[in-house]
Amino acid sequence: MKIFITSTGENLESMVDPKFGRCDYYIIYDTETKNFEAKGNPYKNGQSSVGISVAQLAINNNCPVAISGNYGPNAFQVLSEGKVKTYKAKDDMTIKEAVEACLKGELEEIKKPVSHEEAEKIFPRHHHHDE
Amino acid sequence: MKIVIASGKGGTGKTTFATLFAHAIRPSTYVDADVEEPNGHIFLKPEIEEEKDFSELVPKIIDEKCTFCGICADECPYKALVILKPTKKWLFFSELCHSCGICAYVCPVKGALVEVPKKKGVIRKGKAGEVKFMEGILNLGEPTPVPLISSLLREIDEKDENVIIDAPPGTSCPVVESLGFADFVLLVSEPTPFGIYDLSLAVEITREMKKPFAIIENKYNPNNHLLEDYAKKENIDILYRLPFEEEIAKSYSRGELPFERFEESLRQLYEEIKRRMK
Repeated sequence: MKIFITSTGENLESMVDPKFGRCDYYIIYDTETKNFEAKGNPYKNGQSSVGISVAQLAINNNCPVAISGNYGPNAFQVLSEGKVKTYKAKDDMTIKEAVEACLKGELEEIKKPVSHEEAEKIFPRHHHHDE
Repeated sequence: MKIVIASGKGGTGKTTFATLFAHAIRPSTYVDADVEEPNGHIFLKPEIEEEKDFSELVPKIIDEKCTFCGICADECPYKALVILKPTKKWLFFSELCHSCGICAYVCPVKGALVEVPKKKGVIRKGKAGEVKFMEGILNLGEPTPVPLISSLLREIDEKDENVIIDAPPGTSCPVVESLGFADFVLLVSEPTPFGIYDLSLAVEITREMKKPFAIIENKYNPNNHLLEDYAKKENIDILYRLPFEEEIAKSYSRGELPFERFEESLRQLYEEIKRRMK
């Protein structure tokens, strides 16, 4: 099974990035081979709808499980339609710790997204006029 | 002649001035192009005679024909379409869709992606005495007001002579769209640092678009020279001043404006603009 994890760095000692759509890196960890692949998030500084794009990365890489901090409404909808289970890592977990906790069933499964309003509070960003 | 009332900063008195002006130069046409928050109707109190839907095309995928190749989603510049290849599902985020039509254009399978109209707002027309009234009202959550503004302003009767267009605030696309229809532009500003800064952005755009323009000073206080100094420096005329008075603010808050009081001077202003346009 492959697990999609949002990460602040490129290896298993990096911390889980709590931002889903605007994570720094994403790591795809294979639980059978114990190999992993880390890539920079190409959508990190996108203007909008980055969560949708990152969710599609998880789906198109055939990951049935995702680990992050908070999932926005659009990303959550895409992930659940794509049958990806969404888990929340605890604060200050490394990728390795999060994967182990997930496999032991110790991570909370997220059943509903963070609302746009909550997301603004967690990750305030500059507002801009459309276009 | 079409005169666009714009400002840069919000809350400087565009609608106050535009409704007073439209009333003074009647018979006239007042068009509220601030479709995200139209409020000219509060002061003109028109009788609405006609209301029609404003719709735009959005994609609809026909499951039986779609091959889930994902080209539409890849090409969508706004990420409004998502194709989930593994589960053969599609998702459409209508609040992200700008109705650009690229998805339908690139779809390689005939009949797999069709475009269907979606209501995005309304255009209303009516009368307030001798003032013809038009406004657009955009539905909440729509990504851009520009197409509705464009449709609304194209509905102005070419035979109408005295047309006042109340533009949205700011200096982005909706304002540019409105300014495009202008023969003359009046930039309403207030003598505050914020007002003047945003005015300077509006001045840049108006100059860039090569439209003749002048400044209207609202909340005018004879002891405050901020706006006058800016106008002198930029060599722009301040053609009219509305005084800073508690009475005006009070009546505004009740949805009333002192139409008669400024009528004569606003007619003179209109004559002055006409002279400049010759």
